[in-house]
Amino acid sequence: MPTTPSSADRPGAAREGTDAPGAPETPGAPDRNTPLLGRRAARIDRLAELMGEREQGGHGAGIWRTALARLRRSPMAITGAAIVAVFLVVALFSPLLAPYSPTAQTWGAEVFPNRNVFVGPRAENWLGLDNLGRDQFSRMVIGARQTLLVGVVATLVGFGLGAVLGGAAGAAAVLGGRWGRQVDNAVMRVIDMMLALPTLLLAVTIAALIGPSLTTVMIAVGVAQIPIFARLLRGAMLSQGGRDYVLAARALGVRRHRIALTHILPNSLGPVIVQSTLTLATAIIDAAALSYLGLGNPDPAFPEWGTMLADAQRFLSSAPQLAVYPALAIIVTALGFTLLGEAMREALDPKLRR
Amino acid sequence: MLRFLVRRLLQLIPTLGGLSILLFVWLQRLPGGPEYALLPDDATAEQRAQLRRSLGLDQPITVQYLAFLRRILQGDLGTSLNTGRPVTEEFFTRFPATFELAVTAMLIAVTVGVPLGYLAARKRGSVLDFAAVGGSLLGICTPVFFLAFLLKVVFAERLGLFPSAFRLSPGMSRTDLSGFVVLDGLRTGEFDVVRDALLHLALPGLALASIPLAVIVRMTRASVLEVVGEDYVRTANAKGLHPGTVRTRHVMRNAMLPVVTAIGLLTGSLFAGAVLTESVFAFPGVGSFVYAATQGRDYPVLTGFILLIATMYVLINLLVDISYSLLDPRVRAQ
Amino acid sequence: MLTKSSRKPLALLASAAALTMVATACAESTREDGGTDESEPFVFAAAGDIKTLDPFLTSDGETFRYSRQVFETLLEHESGGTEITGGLAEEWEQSEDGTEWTFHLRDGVVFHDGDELDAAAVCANFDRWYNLSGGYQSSNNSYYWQSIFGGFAENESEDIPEPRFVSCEARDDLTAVITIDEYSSIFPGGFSLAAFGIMSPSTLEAIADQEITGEEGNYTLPEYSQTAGTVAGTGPFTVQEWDHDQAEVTLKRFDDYWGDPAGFETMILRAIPDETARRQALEAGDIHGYDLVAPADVDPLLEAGFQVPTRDVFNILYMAYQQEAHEALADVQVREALAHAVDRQRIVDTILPEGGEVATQFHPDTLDGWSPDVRTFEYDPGLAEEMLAEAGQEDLTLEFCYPTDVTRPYMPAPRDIFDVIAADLEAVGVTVEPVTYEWTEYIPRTNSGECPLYLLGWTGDYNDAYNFIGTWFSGYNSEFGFRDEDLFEAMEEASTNPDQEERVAAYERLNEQIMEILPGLPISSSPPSIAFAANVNPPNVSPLTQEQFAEASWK
Repeated sequence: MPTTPSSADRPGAAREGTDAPGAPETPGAPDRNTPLLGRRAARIDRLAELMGEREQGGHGAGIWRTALARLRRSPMAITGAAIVAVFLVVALFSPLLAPYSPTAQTWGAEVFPNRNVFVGPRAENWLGLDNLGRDQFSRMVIGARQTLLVGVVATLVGFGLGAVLGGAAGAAAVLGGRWGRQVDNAVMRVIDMMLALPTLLLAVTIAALIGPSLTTVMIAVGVAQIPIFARLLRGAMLSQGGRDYVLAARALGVRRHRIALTHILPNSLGPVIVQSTLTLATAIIDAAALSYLGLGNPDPAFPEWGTMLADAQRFLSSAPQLAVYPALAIIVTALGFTLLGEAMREALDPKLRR
Repeated sequence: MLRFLVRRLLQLIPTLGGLSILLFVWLQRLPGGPEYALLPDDATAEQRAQLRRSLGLDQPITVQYLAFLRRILQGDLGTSLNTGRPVTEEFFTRFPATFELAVTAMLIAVTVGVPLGYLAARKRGSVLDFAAVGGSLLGICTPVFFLAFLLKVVFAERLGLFPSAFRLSPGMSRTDLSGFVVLDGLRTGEFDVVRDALLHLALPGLALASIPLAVIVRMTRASVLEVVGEDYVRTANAKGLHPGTVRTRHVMRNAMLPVVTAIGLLTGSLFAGAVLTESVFAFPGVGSFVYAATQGRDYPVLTGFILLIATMYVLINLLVDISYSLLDPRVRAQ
Repeated sequence: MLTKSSRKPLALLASAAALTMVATACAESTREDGGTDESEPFVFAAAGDIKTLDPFLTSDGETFRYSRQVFETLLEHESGGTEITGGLAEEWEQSEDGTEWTFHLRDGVVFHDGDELDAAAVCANFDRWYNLSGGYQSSNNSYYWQSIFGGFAENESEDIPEPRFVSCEARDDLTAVITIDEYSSIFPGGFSLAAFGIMSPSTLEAIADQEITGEEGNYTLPEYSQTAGTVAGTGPFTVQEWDHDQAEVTLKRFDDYWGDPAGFETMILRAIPDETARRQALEAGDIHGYDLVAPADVDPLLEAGFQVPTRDVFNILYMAYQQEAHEALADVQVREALAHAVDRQRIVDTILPEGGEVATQFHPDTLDGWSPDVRTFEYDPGLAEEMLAEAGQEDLTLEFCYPTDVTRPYMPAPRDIFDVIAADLEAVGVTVEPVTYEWTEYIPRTNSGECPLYLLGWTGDYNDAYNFIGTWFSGYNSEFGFRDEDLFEAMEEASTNPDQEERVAAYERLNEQIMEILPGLPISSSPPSIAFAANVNPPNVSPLTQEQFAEASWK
């Protein structure tokens, strides 16, 4: 018996779409019908289920407390949190921190990109000047704010629309009876199909059709995240749907939409919040990629790390710092969010901690 | 096994059908749809209406969709606005290049990632483990286009070890059998072509491998750690099996299951990454053509390519499913 | 036994890794033995792929670079200069009124397919062009014919101009006489345009029934223009293959060429859109030359031993004011204010290559007709602000278009140039809304007058001021969106005057007149660079960017 390999619940791995025996089956899950797409979906579901399972384990609300305690001891979480904190402070207070205007070409007469004459760090410009004589430090600082804006709005777009779709499907599945399950099935079929498209490719397509702008980047990156959030929230709601308190509420005759909104939904948000942290990292990197493809903000004066990096690559031999600053900023920030998100996921899923 | 295969294939139909609806609705209804892409912004309402008529956009959406579907089933995905050649032709002449690139990237990712992940798990907490995990996190967080550019600057421009662009050296004469340069070269015995093609694949392949490599390292590591703790491994060890046998028969075999799955999942990111990598290395594949299409708003190319790539993605995952079923008999039994 | 089987997967992995390494290692070694032998192909990188094998169908510079090696025109420019010399016609003369052009063809010229060049062959080409119909009549597919020779025998649309071409007559074997209905200063320059490369009679016969299909905006060019094998010219190279997938055109030396044979046996033109990627390809040894070198790359390339000959200046960059796209721009005071707001000297000093200069009018000073007395606009933001206030436009908001991912001979780094101008305009209180298009979209959009402000330029086709100012200001033009009948008439008068001296004087007056009207702000003229590997004897570089690669060879 013990030699039987278990493929279910492998850490960080996708569970086989047609659930292996023994793995908690989510009610009404369409995985059975879509084994191919179930892969990625199953991985997302895994996170969703965890929250429910733990709570069932008798800890009640203690899951967050234990998770927090674990997080405090995790160097990964601390590093991630520190990076994210610094980034947030810089981004939020950037107008106070930036000594100069990020767009004013104040020292335009001192830089000669046509002759490879650049100005490096000096007393008044801590990171030197960019290729048109703007203060690089101010651009980096204000750029942090724009990058955060792109990341947050994109995540919110994905979160918001994904939550509406996933929440509706989840609520329907849990409370809607047979008809509800059909709605759920239909919605999730669409979501699974969206999951079949590579996110960046989807974003590129959307961005290309709307035309280049910062809004485009936010929408494109956000839309590409919708299916993940939808799947996640639905999964979490399904696993909450079977809880005793829901049953109790139903028995007490609480209205269905009330149960969904006041009981199930708040209790299902945990995994979605964790995913948001990871999505922020993805959004920052994908936004940089879209900028590189020329689909970002058409105003070159506008400081945004992705645009700055894409634009400065041509000076890599003569003025590497122009590309290296934004590149490092992007990598470190994305790393911060990833570390924090992964640590949170691990903290919530003790199986991963071994 | 046959029933399993047939079932899986039948399940493709609703998926692809739904995908085509999704794409159709999506691309037809977005602001900046075809009539905006084809006409200048100041075109009169009448000009737009005329174009809509000629493109069949004034028909009910169901009629439009059925027409769209019929064309797809006949293998007609429209004509590229930029080159005036059929979209399917454009795709399949470029596909071999991207396929070779993707295979190279996957080979690098697997040959390096699996042993690295395994070693990291075996020597948990060591410097190697730390470096492997840290490195893979870094790999995920580095924008692919920047990494590609760095590789090019260092290995092509500075050191001159590899070519910086293209798929083959200019003027390299070869016998074209299938469009797959490496395969053709091996079949015809033109080994100079094979070598040249491999050289051109090295840098873009490496850049493209960064994300799959990172994912595979982490997944192998986590997976091995998980399996090592399982009861059956303890049992195997306890009954005195040779450690090597335990490693291959029990640990590796089981630990590989999620990795195999991941490979299927990662193909999607390979195609997306190819858009960035190929444009950096002027590599004439599907990716650089998608890039050109986004620049020129070549909307038939975008729709067609997305559909083809998604189909391919689904088919690859079908293959993964099959290989999975070979590794794990329970999947078949169900 | 057990241990053996246990090592299998790892051994497999190891051998796969080793194989990869061996493949790379042995490849490395081959890259080192560089030495150039005579038969090595010369690879030149251009910014874009060619569009068609028949240059008549396009106005694209990359296509002309290819076609100048394969086809020849009646007249050519002297190597490395702008003077008109004989091409396929050794000598030529024009009638008194300038409507009859007699060409005495070179004897003994053969086409790549073995046909012989005679007057009948030349006239067969002109007659074909004149009688084209259907999709060929779209200005997209016959741009230069329409701008030089007007319309066709039977115009199928009202938008097509009346034909200026009357007939082509083969007087004897080697004398062709082309008649036009009225003299224009675009001749003889027009006969030298690459679009009018002469193809062999057999080619013409083979392609006679090939049509352009599709409708406006979605044309499918005929098969002969997309696959090598049909077209044959008289140039020093024959076209052997056009690989669309690799964006690569392979040319072979034509051994029966009438002039000096080409220095390279094989020449390959390849497209690398990104300028940094082009430089890297040259440095990595993948290519042996490329065009449109970024100004900042010139010195590092020279230091590394590459050759970067500089061309003479023969272009202009301007910022256009489209007067219909924004009502404020119809006010000359606003146009003048904007002209005072832009620090053009800074653009020249910091972004353009060495040798660039601020332009005072719409063509470079190397052309006859350039006037020293035009009205000039000094950089004076204070004055600009005042003038805007006077015009009641303190809160002016303007869309400003620039192209992405492209460099042009007259415009390296469009993004930076845009950025500098935008900052200058913002400094005097104008709100700039940036709009970007990819190059192939940028041209139709700016041409149709969608952008109030936009950057564009022009490299001369031949040595006549009319090729610059006439292109824009000879009549109503949606690129600028204004009507000034006085100007248009004066332009017409100047260009139809066969007397060279009077014409030049008229051009000077016209330049002054244009700068009073100020339809746009001329920014700069700057020399575009071209780079070659150290082991190449480069061809004479041409201010018209019309290099003859037959002149080049291995060292």
